[in-house]
Amino acid sequence: MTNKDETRPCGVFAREEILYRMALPVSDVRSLVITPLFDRDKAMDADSVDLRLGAYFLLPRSLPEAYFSPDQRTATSQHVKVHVPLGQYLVVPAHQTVLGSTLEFIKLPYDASGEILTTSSVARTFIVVETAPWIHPEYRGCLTLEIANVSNTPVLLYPGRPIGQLILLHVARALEPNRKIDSTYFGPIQPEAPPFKNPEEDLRKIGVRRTAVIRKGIVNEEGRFEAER
Amino acid sequence: MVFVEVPYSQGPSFFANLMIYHELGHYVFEKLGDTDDRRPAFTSLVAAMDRAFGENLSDTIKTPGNRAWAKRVLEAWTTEVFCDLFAVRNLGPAFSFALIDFLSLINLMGEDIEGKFDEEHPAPALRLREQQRCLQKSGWWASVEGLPSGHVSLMKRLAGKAEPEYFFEFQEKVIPAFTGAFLTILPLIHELAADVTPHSEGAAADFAQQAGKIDECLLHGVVPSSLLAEDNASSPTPVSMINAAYCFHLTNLPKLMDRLDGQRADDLRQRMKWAEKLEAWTVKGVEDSQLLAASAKSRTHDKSTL
Repeated sequence: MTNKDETRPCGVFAREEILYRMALPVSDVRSLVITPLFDRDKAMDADSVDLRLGAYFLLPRSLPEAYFSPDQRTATSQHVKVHVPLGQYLVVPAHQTVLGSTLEFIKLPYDASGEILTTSSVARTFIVVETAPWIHPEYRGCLTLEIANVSNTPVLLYPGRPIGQLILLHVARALEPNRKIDSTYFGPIQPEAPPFKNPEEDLRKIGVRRTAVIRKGIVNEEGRFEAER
Repeated sequence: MVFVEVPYSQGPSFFANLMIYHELGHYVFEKLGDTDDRRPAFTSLVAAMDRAFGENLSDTIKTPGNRAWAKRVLEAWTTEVFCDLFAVRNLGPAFSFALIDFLSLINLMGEDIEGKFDEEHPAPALRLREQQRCLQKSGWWASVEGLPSGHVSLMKRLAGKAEPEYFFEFQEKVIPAFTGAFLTILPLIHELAADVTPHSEGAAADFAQQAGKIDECLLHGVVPSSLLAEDNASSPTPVSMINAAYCFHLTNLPKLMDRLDGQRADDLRQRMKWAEKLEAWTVKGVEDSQLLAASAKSRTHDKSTL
């Protein structure tokens, strides 16, 4: 389908369209999946779907170094994974951010982007789902949420309670059959740490030939520096 | 408390941990023997063990110490097969597939040793033959026998293995009377396993009905709980999800990888990553299923108390 002149819908998905897309078979590129969805009538507004907090978290870890360098080696050492069963709570200290995820697993249609907004009642407790709320077409997985407690008081988070609202927006896009799907963030069911490359690799791609880095290592008996592998 | 040992490399693997059902079987078997009010099927099995010993071994094993040892061996084999069948009745072919993976990992599935009994366990070949028979009786086998998988081919081959190829060696001497005696007990073990797992009737039919839909979800990288209905009426059971996912793991993982940018099924590291994802989606599906069931129950309760 490459008919450029065809009028495509635009704007935010209404409840009726959300329901229509959810009824399509999963093999249909236009299908939308949000699962598990408890009490469908209550979970949906005129233009959004309520999402709940999942039971897994990544908490920031105190690093042995005085800095955090987002590179290939350290990216996975920044967090501690924690499971908080439903019925239990997680304490988020004042002014701290944790990574959580939605309880719902989501598959977006090929022609829709999504945005997650903090539920207003949650936002009024000074808990904010921060900074990377945009979801690309065809994304599937539980959504990783950066949950910040911006208050001066520790706040309890209960997995299973509403945390955000999903808004879907049309993307004017032609169907590309048999297109391969990006596998970088494909299908997570828990919050995921970002997969970084080393900074010099990223910068080389835009022509930067010299990059300042901090590498851990030891100075050997001959006085030469050996980088830690 | 039940202690279950799984090789350290398999600890995080959901599919490998399906073998815990076998270990639960040990607990159930022990409890069946503990009670004063024993089930008739258990009493018949105990009688069959005595008869098998009397008719096949009592003439050759004479001393009290050796007799006690021989009975312990027969009982250990009986328990192991019961636990396998208990697991298969509860879990379907996914248990057999997990057992094949496990036995292969510890080098017990070679053609030269697959027929070998030891003092604690019957031969892997016989264990899998009995599981295949159980799957056939309970309706599962028809749904999986056509899978283009090495696991299924292996089960078919072992199902046809000639009984004289089973052997039990003790002190480097083969004792055929032992395996002969044990073979007479097998039908009673099947009866007892079926007797204690009446709840599993219908699991194979649900799988036959839902496997295609679950497969479709997994092929599109979607947790199969999307098939769950709020009222649970037409939802796949966790057992169907687990079995469909294991079948997908054995046959369709390359198809999933082929849909993804830069992924190749012949790259072991990438294949492992997607096998782990598949397990994660299955676990999530099972968890969601429990949550939705609890939620539906709670809503029904709320309505009835109004």
